[in-house]
Amino acid sequence: MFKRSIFLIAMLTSAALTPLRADDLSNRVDQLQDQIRQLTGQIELLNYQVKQLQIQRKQALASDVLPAPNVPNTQNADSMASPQTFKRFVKPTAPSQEANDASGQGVEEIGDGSALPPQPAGPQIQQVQQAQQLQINGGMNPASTQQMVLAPPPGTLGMLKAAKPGDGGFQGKVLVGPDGTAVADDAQQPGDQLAVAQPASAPVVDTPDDLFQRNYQALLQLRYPDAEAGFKDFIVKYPNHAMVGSAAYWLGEAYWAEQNFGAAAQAYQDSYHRDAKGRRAPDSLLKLGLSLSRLGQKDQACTIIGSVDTEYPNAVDVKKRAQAAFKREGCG
Amino acid sequence: MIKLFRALLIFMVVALSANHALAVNGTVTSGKIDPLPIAITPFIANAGSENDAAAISGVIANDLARSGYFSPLAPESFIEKITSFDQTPNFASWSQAKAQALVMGNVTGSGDKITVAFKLYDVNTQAFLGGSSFTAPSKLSRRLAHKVADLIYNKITGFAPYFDTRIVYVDETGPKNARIKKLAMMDQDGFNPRILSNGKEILLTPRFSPTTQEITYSAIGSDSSRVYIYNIDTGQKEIVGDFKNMSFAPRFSPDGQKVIMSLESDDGRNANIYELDLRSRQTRQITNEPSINTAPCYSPDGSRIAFESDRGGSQQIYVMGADGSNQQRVSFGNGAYSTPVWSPDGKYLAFTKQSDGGFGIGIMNVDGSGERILTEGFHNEGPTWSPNSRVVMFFRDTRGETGGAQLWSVDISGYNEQQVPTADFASDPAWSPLLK
Repeated sequence: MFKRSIFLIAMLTSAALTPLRADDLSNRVDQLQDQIRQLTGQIELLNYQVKQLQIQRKQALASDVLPAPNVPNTQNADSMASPQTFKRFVKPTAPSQEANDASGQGVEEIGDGSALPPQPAGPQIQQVQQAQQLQINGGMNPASTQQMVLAPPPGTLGMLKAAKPGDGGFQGKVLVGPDGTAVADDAQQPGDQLAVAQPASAPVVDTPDDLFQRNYQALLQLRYPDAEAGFKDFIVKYPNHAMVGSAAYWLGEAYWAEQNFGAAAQAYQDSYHRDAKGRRAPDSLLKLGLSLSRLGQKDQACTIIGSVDTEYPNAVDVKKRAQAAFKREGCG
Repeated sequence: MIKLFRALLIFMVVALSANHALAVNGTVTSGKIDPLPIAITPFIANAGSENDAAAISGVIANDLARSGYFSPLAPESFIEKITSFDQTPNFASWSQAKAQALVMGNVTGSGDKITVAFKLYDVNTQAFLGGSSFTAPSKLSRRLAHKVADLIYNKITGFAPYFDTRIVYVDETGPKNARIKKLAMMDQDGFNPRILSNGKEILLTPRFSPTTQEITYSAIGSDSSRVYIYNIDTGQKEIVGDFKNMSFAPRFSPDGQKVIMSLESDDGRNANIYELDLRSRQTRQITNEPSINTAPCYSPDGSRIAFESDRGGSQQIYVMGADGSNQQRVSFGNGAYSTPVWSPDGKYLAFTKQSDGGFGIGIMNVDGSGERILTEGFHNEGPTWSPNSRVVMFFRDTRGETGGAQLWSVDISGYNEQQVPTADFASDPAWSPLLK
C-alpha cells in the first residue's frame, strides 16, 4: 500500500513537470482514477477486516463471561440455551379481551348490507375469537372507508414468539439452531453478552467469580498489567477453580497482546496442563505453538500446531485456525 | 393444527436465519416445508355469476399454491359437495379427504357488480377461522379472488398479504441481437398482461410509484438515455429533469415526491446520484465521486439510500444518508455486488452478486451481515420485493440463440423457486405495493 502511494505521488509529480498533450493527460487521469479506486477498495477491505477482528475479539472475550452467581460454575456463557437466558427474548402476548367472546360471530356485516349466517360454534373459543380479526371489507370501491383487517404480523426473522396457551408452540422450549446454538432475537448483538457481566462496583466480598470478572474487565479495557497481575493472583488463590484453565489462557492473551511471547508461551502451556479438557485448551495449545513460532522455535511450534488437529478433533473452529496457521507458518 | 403449522413456519424462518454463516461461503440456503393441504370448494354461483364463480376458485387456488405454503387439493378428492353457502361442512368427510383447511365461497352478481363471500375453517378443530366479502365491478373479479386468497394466506401463515399486486416489467420480443423492449404490466400471477409502450425505445428499469398510478423508467433513444414518468391512467409520459447528460436507473422516493437516479458525467466516464423533487423540479447532487455510482434505492422510511459503486475497483453496495452523508460500503463477500433493493419492511437489501462466472440473487441485512444467496446460475439479475418482504422476483437469462430473459420468484428462505408466466421474454420486474 505504501509503495502504491509512492507510485501515485511519482506519477503526479511527473505529470506536473513534464509538458503533456491532452490525450496523454486524459490517459493519465484515467490511470490515476483507476489507482484511486484500487486504493479505495483496499482501504475499505482493511477497515472491514479490522472491524471483523474487533467483533471476533469481543465475542471471544465475551464468551468467558461468568454465569450468574446462583448458577453452578460448570455452566459457562455458551449455555445460551438455558431457559433463563431464553426468557430474555420472549415477548409475552397479553390475552385478548375478546378471548371470552364465544359468540362465533366472526363475520360482521357483508359489503352490500346483508349479513352472513351465524357460524357453528367451534370447540375452541380462541379460534372463534381469532375469526374476528378477519372483518368485512365494504368492497373495493376506493370511496369505501372500511378497511380489510389483517392478523397481526408473524414473528419476523430471528424473532421468537411467545406461545399462547394451547398453542402447542414454543412455550418452555428452547429453539436450537442448525449449528447447535440457541436461536436468539435479531436485536441481540454479539456484544450484548457483555451486558451479563456484573457491574464492577457491585461486589464487595471478593469471590473467585468477582476476581475473575475484574481481571477480565481489565483485559477488555486493554489494561494488560492489571489483567496479568489479577489472573496470576486468581491462579495462585484458586488453583482448583473450574475457571483456572481459562484464567491462565487469558493471562497468556494479555502477554501475547504485549508481544511478550516467552511469558505468553508459559501461560498457554500452564492453561493446557491445568485443564487439558477445558474449553480454552484447544486455543491454548494453538497459541502455545504460535508463541513458540514467534520465539523462533519453529520445529516445536509446528509440532504443537499440528497436534491441535488430532488432540481436539471436535474443536472445529480452532482446528480450522490451526490448519491455516500450519500453512502460514510454513510447517507443511 | 393450523396454528401449529404457523408455528412451524415461524420456526423454519428462525432456523434459517440462524444459518446465515453458510451463505457467506456462497452456499445456497434453502428451506423446505410441507405445504398445508387446503380444500377450496367450487364457489357457489348464483344467477349471473356462473362464469366468475368458477374462475374465482381457480385464482384463489393458484395464488395459494404458488405461495409455497399451501397445497390445494384436487376437487375430485372431495367427498362432500357444498351446495349452499349456509351449509355446515361435514368435517369428518373433509378430514378423510386429507384437508386441513376448508374454504367455502359464494358469488352473487348484481348489474355489473359482483360480490364474493367466503368462509375459512380449520378441519381438525372444526373451528371457523374467518370470513369476509368483497364487492367490485365484475371486470375486477380476479382482484376479488386475490383479496380472498390474501386473507386466507394471512390468516394461516400470519404473513402480510401480497396477492393483490401487479408487476411492471420489460417485455422482450425479436431476435436476441435486436430485441424490442416494451414497457409492460401484469397481475402478480402473470395474468392480465398489458403492453404500455410502442417499442421504439429500449426500455430499462421500470419502477412503480408508491400510489401505483405512475411508473418511472429509463429509455435509450437514438442518441441518449432519459428518465421518464409514465401515467398508467392517462398513458401520458414526461421526461424527468432536463439533463444534458444521460440519466438512468430511476426510482421513486417512498413518499412519491422525488425521483432518484444516476446521471453521467460530462466526459461519460463516471456517474453520480441525483435526486429530483417532482414539485419544485429542483435537482440535488447526492454523490460526488470519480467512479460509477448508480442503482440508488431509498430505505422505506426515506432516511437512507442504498446504491452500487465501483469506487473501490469493483461494483459493491454502499449505504448512505438520504443527503449523501456517511457513505459506507456494506458488501464484502467474494465477488461484485449490484442492484441493491431495500425490502419494504426495511430489514434487508436484495442484490445481484457476480462471482465465479455466475450471477446470483441474494439478500443481506442492511449493514451487510447475514448474506444469503437465494439462487445462482448463468445469469440472474434485478431483484424486486413483494410488498410483504417474503418473496423476491428477478429475471433469469438463458444461454444460446433461443435463450432469453424470464421472470422467476423465490421465497426469502430460498424455497419455492418458480417461474412467473409471461407470453414473451421478460426482464427487469418491479413489484407494486398492495393495491388499494
